[in-house]
This record gives sequence, structure tokens and C-alpha cells, in this order.
Amino acid sequence: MARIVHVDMDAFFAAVEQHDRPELRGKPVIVGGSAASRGVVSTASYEARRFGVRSAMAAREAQRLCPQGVFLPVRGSRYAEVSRQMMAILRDEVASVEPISVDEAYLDPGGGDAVAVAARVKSRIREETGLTASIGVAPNKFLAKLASDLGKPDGFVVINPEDVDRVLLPLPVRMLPGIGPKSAGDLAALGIHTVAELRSADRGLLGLHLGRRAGELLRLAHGEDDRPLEIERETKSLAAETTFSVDVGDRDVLRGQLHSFAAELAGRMAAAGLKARTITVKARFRDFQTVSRSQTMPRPVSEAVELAEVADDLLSRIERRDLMRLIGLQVSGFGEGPRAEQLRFDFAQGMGEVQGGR
Amino acid sequence: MRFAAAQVDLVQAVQTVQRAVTTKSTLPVLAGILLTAQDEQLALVATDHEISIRCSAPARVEMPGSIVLPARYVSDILRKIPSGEVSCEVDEGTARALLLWQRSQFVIYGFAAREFPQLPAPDGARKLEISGRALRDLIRRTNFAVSRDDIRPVLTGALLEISPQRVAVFATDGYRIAYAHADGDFGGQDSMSVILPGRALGELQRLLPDGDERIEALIGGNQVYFRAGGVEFTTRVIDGTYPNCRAVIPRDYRATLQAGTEDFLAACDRASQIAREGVQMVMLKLEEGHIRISSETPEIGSAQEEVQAQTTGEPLEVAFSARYLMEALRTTDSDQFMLEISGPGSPARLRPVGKEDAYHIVLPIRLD
Repeated sequence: MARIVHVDMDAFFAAVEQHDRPELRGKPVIVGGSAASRGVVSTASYEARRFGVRSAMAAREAQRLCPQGVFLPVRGSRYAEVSRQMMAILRDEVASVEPISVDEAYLDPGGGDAVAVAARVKSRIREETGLTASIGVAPNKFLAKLASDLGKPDGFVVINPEDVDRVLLPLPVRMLPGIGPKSAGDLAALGIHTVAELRSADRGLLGLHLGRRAGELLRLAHGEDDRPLEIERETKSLAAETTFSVDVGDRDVLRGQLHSFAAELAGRMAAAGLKARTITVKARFRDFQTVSRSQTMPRPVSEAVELAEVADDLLSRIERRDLMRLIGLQVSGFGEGPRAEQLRFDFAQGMGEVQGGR
Repeated sequence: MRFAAAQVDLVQAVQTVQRAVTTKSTLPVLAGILLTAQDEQLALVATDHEISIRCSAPARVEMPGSIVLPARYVSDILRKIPSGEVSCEVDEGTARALLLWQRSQFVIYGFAAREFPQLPAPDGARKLEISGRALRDLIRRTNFAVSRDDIRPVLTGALLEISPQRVAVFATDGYRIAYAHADGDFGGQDSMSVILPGRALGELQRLLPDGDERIEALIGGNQVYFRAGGVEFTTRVIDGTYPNCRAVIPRDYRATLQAGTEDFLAACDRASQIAREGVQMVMLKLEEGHIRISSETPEIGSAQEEVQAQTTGEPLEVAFSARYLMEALRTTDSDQFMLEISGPGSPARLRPVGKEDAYHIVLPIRLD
């Protein structure tokens, strides 16, 4: 019985842009990075993917592959808004929703008819957001995600228990979660290319090459996955980061970027009713050395000004002055503070006003 | 270098400067004390780059010279030596010291004196003269309120406002403010202010004589130099802008209470036993003729105390950190205190009754 539904928005960021700006429809849209520079592609529309453009590819490479591509900046708050709209539809249809990312979620329709629920979700997403989602319906999470992947874009794929072997056996092993290019290469060296070959491989040999992951992989190769939905997965942290299109060393520019992250994160925390105890600044230098500096506050904070103040201080604690290719701000430690809150003077405001934050 | 000195004098001098010794520096030589024998005395210096302490002990100098010896070993050994004379011979080439007393001899490996950082010379445009006791009192009544974490470096220090007739000190960690001043004739013509590290003030408080004896300070842009008796103390100045504490003092209060300091302190202390976790919250409820102090922690219990008090204004109920209240009360130096409250979300003022030389501003705990 198929009972888990995986919903995955198609080329989400690019699709939002094409929806908001009809003149971009049918054109290769590349979100993230700019043509002349060194940013990284966040999402490419299907039109751009035809040229070989992929997410996480250097923008410069994308430009070479697709010179007519329309490069757009990331509009995080707009995508968050559409994401909330999409998640609201899912929660309206079923009680058990596990959001995995901004554009992806698992649903468990419980006793309901999973296929019917999935069909309703798909058509409501199209009607209410104007965007397409690919849907997978299957006995477990792994197969449901596989199913939505197989149908992309605008797909609707159902894998019933009796279909599992037919679908799974001919697939290349790299379709299994946890098999990256390196593992796929290792397996290829053992003559293992497909899931069928993985299943019939010698267990001892697999153990030797994959270690403890061998057992887990074999279970996946048999289509087994008993992970339940994590319905009330708590938000553990929120982060905003950017890879600069041109590496930056100017501390004023870096502070400016951190301040806009502080504003963004303060907005997201306010929307979720969260306050953070720990603030982290992350930086990656041109040589890919990544450093971070954290500060745990004596009391929970949520205001943009406070976040920015701490972020400035954390940035100044990064001694290395070389050009950075990435900077990010993260807040975590939610709900660690007491409900009773020791008020603090806001000396900047003066005149006896106090800064507490609500 | 060769000298002899009394064990008691050496122990005292070493213990005086030892507070400035650091083992946390990347410079190993700072774990040592610089000893210089010259002119019938032994000068001792230690520094951790934030503070430095210099003092001297009477000695019979047979050959002048200097060496740096590890503070921990020198201090431990000297304390265990029977009282009497200790002599010391230093081979400056190998930086080794030979300590001799009675029939014992110890060799201690040190560092050459030239490896010890040069201390900046006493320097400062503004001179301050104040009695040891007055300065000690100012520090004692304020320094507890400096910030212990260095998110905002200026708050780890206290602000000294110095004018010819008044020295005032502010300390705050952002949650409460401690203020005290002393009036007198402190020399100088102009007014100025300086932020000194809380830790340095703590060490200075220990070194200051507890009497009317005047000590002298020279205040410069980067450092302040104090001379008290035979001890010279230098501290780095914290660079930055200190918050304007006066600006957050409320002008109006909605309720006041006056009560006996000891009674209130004891009741607050007892009630806080039930509120040990976190902020140690106690509720204060002003009622006619008394104040109710209560606390509660789920799974532990609750406490209710009543202290006789003269109350005016509205019957307010406000939560405070017991620790902030008690730390303030312990330094009011007065039998009666006054607490002026402006509401559950506004600063309160706590001050001694019958004295105008100190106050505390304490922020409440807000309950969601």
C-alpha cells in the first residue's frame, strides 16, 4: 500500500521568477550569481538545464554554457513567501507534514487515500501558486522521493509495493541517497553500476569498501526504509549566507552584508516566534578555509539591531584579513532562555528606555 | 648580581607583584617576576600587559644586577623557608639563580632580564590625589557591577569621572548600574573621565592602604599610574565610549519603599534559596506598611517573606534578580535604604537613606 507522498517544487526559485515576470517564461533563467562573475547558480530553469546549467555550478561556467541565460539575484523573502503558501496547502490537506526544505516536503495521509490526496495537492499547488510540483507516492520516504525525482518536472509517479523491483533494479546506484560521485566510482570499480548489481554483490566485499554504510545501502537497494515522518521537527537554527560574485575583503562591505542578514533572520525569527541564544558568523576565504565565530548571549535575542551588533563583533574576531568568497550569519539555541527575561539597558536609545525584545 | 634579604620582606614583595603575573601569555617570560638589585634594595616587577605592579624590598646588595625568575616557584619556595636571611647569587650569563639559606641551596632557572618587556614610564597629563580609603571605597561600592563577558569591552571596565572636587565611578553590565562618588580636594584643574578595567580596579583595591594616607595617580591617554606607599601600579585604559548611565535614570517613580537594609537583605537571601536557578528571580510586592518578597521554582517549592517597610504610591508588583538587589544592598553602607520603582518594565533606583553619595539602578525581570 502506497502511503507516503513526496512533494517537490520544480526548479523552485527560477519558477517563482518566471511566474512573477511572465516575459521570462520559456527563457533560460538562472537564479544566483551574475553573468560576469563568480557567484554560484542556485537554481536553473528547465530551459537553462537544457544547456547543461545545474545548481551549484559556477555562474561563469553557466554563462559559458548558456550565454543567452537571464541571470537573476536570489530574492529569498519572495521564495519564503511562496514556500509558506505551498506548505499551508499541504497542512490543509493532511495533518502530518514534514517540510524538508523551502520547496520540498513529505506527507503522510494516514488512513486516507494517498493517491487521491497527492492529486489534490498537486492541482491546488498549481491553481493557488501558479507553479508546478512533482509528486511521488510510495510505501516509504526513500521510494516516494525517488518517485518524484523520476517524474520531474510536473511529474506524478506512484510506486506500489509490487512495482518496487521493476523500478529499482535497473537504476544506476548513484540514484540512492548517500551515493555521491566518489562512492559511485568505488562501486563502479567493483563492477557495480545498477541497483540490481548492488543487490547481488558479495556482502563481505561491500563491507570492505563501504564500511558501516553497506548494510544501509543494501536495505535501500531492496526499497526498504522505515524512517517515520518527523512531524514536529524543531527549528534548530536559521541561517543566511551568500557567496560573493567577487571576493570581498572590505570589512565595511562585509558588515553591510551581515546587517542585511541580521534583518532577514530577525524577520524569520519573528515569524516563527523564536529567540536565539547563539549567534554565529561564518566566513570562507578564497582558499576555501572556512572559519566561524560564535557568541552565546546571556539572554535570548531577536532584534535585528542586537544581531547586527553581535555580528559586527564576531566579524572583528576573525583575524585573517584576506578576501572572502562567502559570509554567513546563523542563529541557534532557540527556546533556551527562561520565560522570565532580565531586562537590559538600551544605552543607545537613552532616556531610561529599556531594550527587552518581545 | 648578589644580594641578601629577609625572608618575610621577600615573601611580602613577591606576593604583592604576583597578582600581575600571567601564565596565559604567549610570552613565557611573563610567568616570571623581574628582580633588580640596586641601591640597597631589591625591585620586583610583574606585568600581564593589562596591569603591572612594581614594589621593592630592603636588601643588602653586594653586586647589582637583574634576572627574571618564575613567580610560582619563587613564591612557593620563599614561603616555606624559615624566617631569617636568604641570599641570592645570580649568574646573568646563564640566567640561573642560586638561593641560599642556612644549610640549604636551591638553583632556579630563569630568563635574562632583557627578555622582560619594558614597562612604559609613568606618564599622564592629569594628576589625582586621593586617600587610599576613599578610592578603595569607591571601587568596593561599584566594581562588582562591571560586565563579566566581553561582548561590549567598555562594560568590562568602570568609568571614573575625575574633577578637582569630586571623583565619581559608574559600573554597569547592562542590567544594573552602580554609582558612587567621593568629595574632597583631589588636585588638578580640569575634569576628565577614564575607563579602567574592572579586574585592574579589583587588584588596585587590594593594594591600596586602608587609611587617610594620600595616594597619587597620573592619568594618561593609554594608561593610569598609581603610587600607593611603596607600590606602583599601572593599568591599561579601556578605549571606547562609555554609555551615558545618567540618561537611563528614571525621572519619576510610581512607588517607593524604605526598609531596614539588614532585614531586607536577609529576607531576600532566604527567598532566593528557592530561586537558585538562572536569574534568581524574586517578586517584590509593595503593600501598606510592608513589602512581600516571594519566589517559586517548580519541583522545588516556594517562599514568602514579609519585611516591614514604609511604602508610598501604587501597590506595584515587580520581579528582580535577587543577586542584583543583594549586591546593591551590601554596598549601600546604610541602615536604611530606599527603593524607588517605576513599573514592571522600567528601571528602579536603590539608594542609601541619609546619604547622597551612591545609588544603584536595577532593571526588573519581565515576565512573559
